[in-house]
Amino acid sequence: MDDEALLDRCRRGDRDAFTPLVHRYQDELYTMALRLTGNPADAADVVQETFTRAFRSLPRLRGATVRAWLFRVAVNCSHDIHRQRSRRPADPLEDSEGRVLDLPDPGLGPEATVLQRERADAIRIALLALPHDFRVAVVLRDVNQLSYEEMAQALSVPVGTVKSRISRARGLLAAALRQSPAVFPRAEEAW
Amino acid sequence: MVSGHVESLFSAAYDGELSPDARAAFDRHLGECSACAAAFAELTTAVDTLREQPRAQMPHPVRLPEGSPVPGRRWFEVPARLSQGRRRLAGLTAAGLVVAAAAAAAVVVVGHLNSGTVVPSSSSAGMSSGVALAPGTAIRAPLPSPQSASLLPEVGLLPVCSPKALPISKAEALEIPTGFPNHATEDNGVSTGVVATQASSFAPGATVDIYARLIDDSSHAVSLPCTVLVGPQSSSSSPGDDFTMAVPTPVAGLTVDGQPLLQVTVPATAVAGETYDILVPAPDAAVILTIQIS
Repeated sequence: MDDEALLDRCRRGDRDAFTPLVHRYQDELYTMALRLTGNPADAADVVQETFTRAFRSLPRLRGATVRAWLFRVAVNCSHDIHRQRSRRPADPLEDSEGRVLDLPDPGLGPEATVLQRERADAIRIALLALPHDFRVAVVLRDVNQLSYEEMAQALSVPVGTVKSRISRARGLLAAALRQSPAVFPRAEEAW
Repeated sequence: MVSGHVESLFSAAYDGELSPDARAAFDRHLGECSACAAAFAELTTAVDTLREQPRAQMPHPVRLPEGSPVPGRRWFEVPARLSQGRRRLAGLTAAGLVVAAAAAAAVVVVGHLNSGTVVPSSSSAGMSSGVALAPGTAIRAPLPSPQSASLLPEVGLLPVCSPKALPISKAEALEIPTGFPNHATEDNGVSTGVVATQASSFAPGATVDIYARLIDDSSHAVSLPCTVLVGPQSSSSSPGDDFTMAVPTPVAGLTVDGQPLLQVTVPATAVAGETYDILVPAPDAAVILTIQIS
């Protein structure tokens, strides 16, 4: 059943129709929140809060797709929660410097695992260094692969603004990653 | 990023958004300009690396709120004396605050949504001019029988005034002032509404100072919303009982941190044991704060 059909059932008060939407979008939203906040606990809270807010307001959703709407709510939640928790204690999945410790892929050998970890670390640091609007733009586009139109709905800005933010964000991301040997091996040789 | 003649096209080129002609010209330039070629390769590698990051999994199940996504609703008719010939409810205060109810079906909808209250949006087509009232004036009208929400068009209490913009931050707006312990906050994903009073219990005829703020979740713009007092509700309320609607208004000199508060008078006819609701309408929803009559 597609999103709109589920939304219709929600509007008629069918609580069960909301559950498939949660299953459909929870991992996508969690990944987005993890890239935006850099913290697994905050990201899980973002997803929980997003669906709590959506449950209350989704039946009255107008003028956007369900997916774009959920991303809009999640972006707002990410902003609020990350700001509230900026001084909270370190999470168990972080190291002493607050970096997220991604669990290694068991299918990779030791060297590939190290490289995967280093790339993930470089990406996380580079994203967190971006100004908020640009971080959101590049995450929605290149992590969640939203269309320009979906992003315009999710961010309540014109498509032209979406394109310019993505362009600027990608440029900043590339600049931030330039010195990372895990992403650009030639940079390592230069050291 | 190395500056180049086609740097502004990198992102569109990456997304395959260039027309065939533009793409051909772009590729020709990269063939002639090593700086642009290197910079585009760098951007491509960076974005590819981001895109190749594995999708994460939500570590624990999402817990949904209790109840139905569509709340139960209570229904009130537009006060008869205001709907005569106009099929519209409006309170126009000296401060220019206007609260209007929907035109077509002549009903005001006030529904509960968990801890908050929903005031469904409505069409304002065909509305005529409102009825002028003094600030804080109470309107009395009969309370009709509850009706099935699904049988009526979605109409409601619609503030047609423009909320007054306040030059404060979202964080400041959400910080409920000291001395306002009775408060409610609701965020529907579009707007966040806050309403607070100095007490939860008031005597008939008492003056109620109200802290009310509405925040746009996207822009974080803060405003002083159009707020409404409605009631009474009591265990003995039944269809046909009168109810009151009043419009709290800003009062000169009544401020917190330099920003305005609202004020309304509890109807002298209120009876101990009844409750009244203070509504802060937001797009497609509202925050409700209940006060007791003592």
